[in-house]
Amino acid sequence: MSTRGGAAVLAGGGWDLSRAQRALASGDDVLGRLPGADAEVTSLDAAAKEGLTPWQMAMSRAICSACQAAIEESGGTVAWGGLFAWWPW
Amino acid sequence: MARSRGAACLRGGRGDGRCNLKYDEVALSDRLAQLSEDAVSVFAACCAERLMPVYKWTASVTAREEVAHVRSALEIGWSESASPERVQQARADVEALVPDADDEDSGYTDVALAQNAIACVGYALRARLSHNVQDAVWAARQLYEAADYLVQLSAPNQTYIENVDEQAPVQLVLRGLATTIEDLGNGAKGKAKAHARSDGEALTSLFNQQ
Repeated sequence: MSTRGGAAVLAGGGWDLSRAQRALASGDDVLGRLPGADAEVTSLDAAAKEGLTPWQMAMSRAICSACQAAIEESGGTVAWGGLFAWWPW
Repeated sequence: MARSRGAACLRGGRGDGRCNLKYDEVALSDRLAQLSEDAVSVFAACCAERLMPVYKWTASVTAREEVAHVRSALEIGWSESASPERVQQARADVEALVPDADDEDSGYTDVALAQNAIACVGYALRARLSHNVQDAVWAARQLYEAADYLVQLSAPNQTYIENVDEQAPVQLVLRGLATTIEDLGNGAKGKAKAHARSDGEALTSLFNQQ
């Protein structure tokens, strides 16, 4: 997920990011970790804790209804197909 | 007596006589390339063997059949008499058993660990067929990621423990990988398997402490 400030939030579902995935992150990236939660909720929570404002989110698989609700509750919109979401300026 | 030091280090060394093992896939690959083709596949099987106890630990009663299939597939990987066709079939069968992360009825209390363990058996069988060092490295990665997962269980939400290679579960795994290479370099396949089994039990006890 990209944020207004430029930092990206990286997150995985369930058991979060593996060592190999974390190794691919760059210095400014925020690594989300919320065991048991889906990646979308994990990244939103991580952004909130870092004081970051969500901008765009790309998913590797179609979003579930619970995550869609969480994104919409935060002011975001999920694109048709469930693989992308954005937040208005 | 410590089983792996000095030449058994995957990478590093603190210069104080103690081995500071780090996970380094390039170094691991180089070490494996010096072994015989048979030893490479045995190395991969040892990685899978190390994950078998924790795999059984994470499986609930409903996954009993899967556990038996996975164990059986790994035994085929160990068997010197198994034909390539049988190994190939076992590989296909076991890879089909990797649970989906979103499957809430997978029968595993910890799907991540089950994925690592089953994938590790799959890579071990691939290594048995191909004798390809990369397949063995990927088997090792499954083991390493399972240990990393264990380490991260104790991290607070939205944080990761960064120095994972220094943590006890990962050191156990790294020492195990180094020991296996050392054993196989000495032609001690049986010893390598025995060490893998005992290390697997030790890793599971660390999970139990979480």
